[in-house]
Parts: sequence; C-alpha cells; structure tokens
Amino acid sequence: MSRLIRALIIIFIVAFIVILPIISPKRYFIHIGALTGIYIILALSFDLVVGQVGALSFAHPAFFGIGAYVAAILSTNFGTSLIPNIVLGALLVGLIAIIIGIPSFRLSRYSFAMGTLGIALVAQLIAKNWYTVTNGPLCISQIPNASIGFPGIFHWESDSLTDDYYLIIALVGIVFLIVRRLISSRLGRAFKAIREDEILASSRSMNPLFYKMTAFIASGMLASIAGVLFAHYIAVVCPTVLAIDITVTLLIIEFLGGAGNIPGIILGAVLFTAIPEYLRIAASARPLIYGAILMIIIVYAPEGLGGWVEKVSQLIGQSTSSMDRD
Amino acid sequence: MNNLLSQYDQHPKYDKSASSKSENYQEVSMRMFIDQIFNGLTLGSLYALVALGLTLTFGVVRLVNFAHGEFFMVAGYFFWILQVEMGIPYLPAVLITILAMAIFGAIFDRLVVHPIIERPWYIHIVATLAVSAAMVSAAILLFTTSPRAAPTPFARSIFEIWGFRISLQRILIFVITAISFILLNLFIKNTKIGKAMRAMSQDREVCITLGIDARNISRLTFSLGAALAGVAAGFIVPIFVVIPEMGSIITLKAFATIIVGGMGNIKGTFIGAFLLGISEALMAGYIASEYAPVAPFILMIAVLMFKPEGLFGRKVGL
Repeated sequence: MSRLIRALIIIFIVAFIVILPIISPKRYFIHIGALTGIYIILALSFDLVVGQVGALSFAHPAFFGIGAYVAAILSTNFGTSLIPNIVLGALLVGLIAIIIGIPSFRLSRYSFAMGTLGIALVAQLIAKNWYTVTNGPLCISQIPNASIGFPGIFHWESDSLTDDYYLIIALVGIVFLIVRRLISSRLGRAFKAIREDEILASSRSMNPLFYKMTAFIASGMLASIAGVLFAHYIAVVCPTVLAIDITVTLLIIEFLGGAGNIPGIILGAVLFTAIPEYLRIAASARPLIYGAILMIIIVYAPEGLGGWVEKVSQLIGQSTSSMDRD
Repeated sequence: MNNLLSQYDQHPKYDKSASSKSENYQEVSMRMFIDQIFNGLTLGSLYALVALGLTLTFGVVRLVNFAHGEFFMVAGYFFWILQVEMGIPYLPAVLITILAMAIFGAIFDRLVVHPIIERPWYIHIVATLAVSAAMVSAAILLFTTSPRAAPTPFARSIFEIWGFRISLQRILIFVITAISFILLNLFIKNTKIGKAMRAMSQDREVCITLGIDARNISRLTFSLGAALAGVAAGFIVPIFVVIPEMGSIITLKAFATIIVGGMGNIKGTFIGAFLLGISEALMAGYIASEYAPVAPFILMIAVLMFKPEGLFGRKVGL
C-alpha cells in the first residue's frame, strides 16, 4: 500500500518536472526550475562530503566558481562544448581538492574547515584580480550556449530556455543517480562508518584519509558540474559566483534536510532556491534572513526537516499498517 | 570579501625627496624593506589583537567562533558612529568602543554561545557562520557597502626616524598591542578569574564539579575577546576604513594566525600574528600587492603540512 503511494508520488513528481515547461504560465517559472536544478546538484554534492563523511567543507563556492570560470574561459576563447568543459572543470577541481585536502585533513576537523574556507577566499581573490584571464570584476560575458556534439557527426545546441531547463534536469538526474549509487556501495558504507566513528573504522582497516579525500574530491567534481551548467545557463560569470554566502545557503539546505538524507536535501534545495527566488527577496537581505533561519533550525530542530518527514511518514506507515491489519 | 587590507592600507610610499638624493640602489631597497616591515608590524598588531580574542574563546570555551571577525566589524562601525557621526573626541571614543564591545561580547555569549555550547563541534561552526553572515548582511542594510573612514589627529602626524617616515598612529597601534598582550598575560596568570579560565581550558567538567561557574567564565571570556576586537577597531580603523565585509577576512586570518601559532597558545598566537603580518607586507611589497592577503594562507598551509600542531605547539592550558 505505502509502496504504491510512494511510487505514485515519485511518478507524479517526475511527470511534473518533465511537463513544467509546457504547463508553466510564465517563462519565469522555468527559470526558477533551472536554478533549482543547479542548486540540487550543488546540495547533493555538498551532502556527499558534509552529510556522508562528516567533514565540514567550505570550499563549495570555490569548486562551483572554478567550474563556472573554466566553462566561461574555455568556451569564449576556444569554443569548447559542454562535455569537455565538464571534464576539464572536474579535473582542475579534483587537483585543487587533492592539494588542499591532504594537508587540511591532517590536523583536526577545525583545520579542514579553515583550509577549505581559505580556498574559497583565495579563489575569489584570484577571480577578482587575475584580469588577463578572468576579466576581474568586469565579468566574462557572452558565454555561448551549452552544446554537445562530435565534429562532423552530430551537433546539438541548447538555444532556448526550455532546452537549458531539460539539459539541467538531465544532469540533475545523472548526478542524483551517481550520488545514490555511490552511497549505497561499499564506498558509501565506509563513508558512514568513518562519519560515525573514525577510530573504530580505522581499526577495521579503513583508511579515513583515503575515504575522506574520495568524498571530498567527488563532491568537488560534482559541484564543478553545477558551475559549468550555471555559466552556460546565465551566460555571464562574475567573481560573485564564488561568494561565501553560497555556503550558508547550502548549510541551511543540509541542516533543514538532515545530513545524509537525500530526499530531505532535495526538498531543502527546492524550498531554499525556488521560494526566495519567487518572492524576490533582496539579495543583500538574504544572508540576514538565512542566518537567522539557520540558527533557529540548529537550536530547535537539530534533526532537520528530513527527520520530521521521516517521523511523519513513519506515523503514516504505522496507521496504514494498522489499517491493513483491520 | 576582498583584499581590503592591501587595497585600503595607505602604504607609506617611499619618500621621493629622499630618493632624488644620490643614494645607491642598495639603500633604496633597504628603505623599501624597512617600510614593508613597518607595514607588517601594523598588520601584525591587528591580527594579534583579533587572534588573541579568538584563541582565548577557543581555548577556554572550546567554541570555534567564525563570527569573531564580525566583532571587529561591529566595533569598527561603533567607533565610526562615535567618532564621525557624534563627534566624540578620539580617546574617549576608543574607551567607549572597548566598553561597548565588552557588553556586546556578553550578549553574544547569551544569545549565540549559550544555546549551542553543549552541542557537537560542527554545530558550533555552522551556527557561528550563520550569525556571521547575518551580521554582515545587517551591516550592509544599515550602513551600505560604501567604505567609512574615521581619521584621527594621530594618523596625520608623521614621524621621521632616521629618514623613515611613519605615522604616530602606527607606532601607537604597536605599543597598544604590546601593552594589551602583557596585560592579558598578567590577567590570565595572576587573577582568580584568569586562573579559572586556565582551569576551564584544561577540563570543563572537572571545573564545573569544583564549583566554577562555567557560564560566567564563558561570558567573561567572550567579553574579553570582544573587548580586544574593540581595541583593534579603536586603534586600527583610523588608518583603514570600515566596510561590512571586513570581518570575514579578518576571521580567516585570525584562524590562520592561531593555526600557525598553535591553537589556544597565547604567546604563539602573538608571535604568529606578526609572522603573518610581516609575510603579508613583504608579499605586497615584493611580489604582488593584490595577492598579499593570500600570504597568511600559504603560511598556514605550510605549517599544516610540516608542523600540524603549530609552530609553538598546542598548549591547551593557555
């Protein structure tokens, strides 16, 4: 019974996502949908390192921004298409994650938070000051549309809002499947073991540094995909894409959704991208409101919205199973 | 979040009248080097005052406060209001700022620290980061992003020692920082509250069973940390400017300082602050001024790689 309801809900959600561009009365809703998709990718990748392996990383704005800048620089200067941009962005981010991650993980949890916050800051500084490559605060504009193709065989270019939307949704789906596959594998179980008890895990011959680094690198690479999509979608990349405020939003999503709870995280991402965007809350006021919300969640709802959803669904499950027995 | 320190720091420019005299290149570069050392001492003083408060709250309360730099920002705006908007003379304005910050620290302890102190470490980081973002945003809404300057008579009076020009304010900053450090050390070593703080940094539970009021100590520690940020603002704002984002980068640099100096180690923090300040000034002078704020992080990463417990070791007992 409840399995049927669950399947129906999932089918309904997927159908809604697919037909949104057709039924949407305003183009603006499609835009919100696309932005939400980008944030879902970011939130899922953030959860991989924060929720699954329990290492608090603040490097996400940097990884997202590096992805966006790689796509912007390569496609404006060399006319590269989507897939090379994604691959090169992910490789660069992976390299930076290795360079920063290994020393940062060594001392303590605090130093990892610090080291990653340092990357976020340094990346923004470079974006602002390396004029010859990033154009500084003048931004890189006129980024071409995302395109996929092999020269001479076939070519597809996303030249409308609807195309962009479907492209982003497709990548959300791919990232979702990757993350789900990853966390239900042996690797994912090792992540959780390290999150719960690092010493016990290492006594069971799991190398914590290896698994933490794997999660950190994978999470950074997925975040860079979101950055590449963002660059092609918005067509302008400014140093503000690396703003540390992104971390605050991601933390709200993480804590609202409940660490490690994927449906909760996706719900949180939808709530915290779509609603503020729809209500058009001033960008400068957002951190004030978000900070207050985050503080309230932490103090009063430590297990997050996902925890509530689980509790409610357990209650429903109990009542339906009791009905079954009747 | 920008390179505000290098951007707004009025680097004492190399004196042109002196260079026109027949001086050889070596002397010129020597002058530039010493100018950069002076710059480094100013930056180091700023980092020392902010990082001492941070290392104190981390050592005693065991809370990683990512909003600590925002204390400096709040103090900066408070000082600016007193000095420029209300026209209060310089030294009284500084004193009022320091006292107000002590009260602010106590309020911060009650509203932010107290609800989360018993929770795990990552909650501390996330909660203080949230508060920090909210404070920056509130400052933008209240004061806009345009920089505010609060110059003092001392900043304009230039000293000349052996041909090196340095403003009285910069000398004052260094002297005040050194005095604050000595007073802080005496306070921690000799007073009853200081001893309670040291005891708290060693073992919170035992202290509570021995009848030390942990909440009171936590409140006093945050008052002290915020007051040190007030000292920093009172003496350093006159040569820089106040902008809403200035706290965030100072938080990061203060963390870099306490990682370099050894977390919870007051003497190490003090020395580490000047190492960072001087390395940043030398980077600004010799390599690239726009990337100078990166220097502390390079130093921090190097320390993490080769001496992860900090240059002067971690001393939990302060």
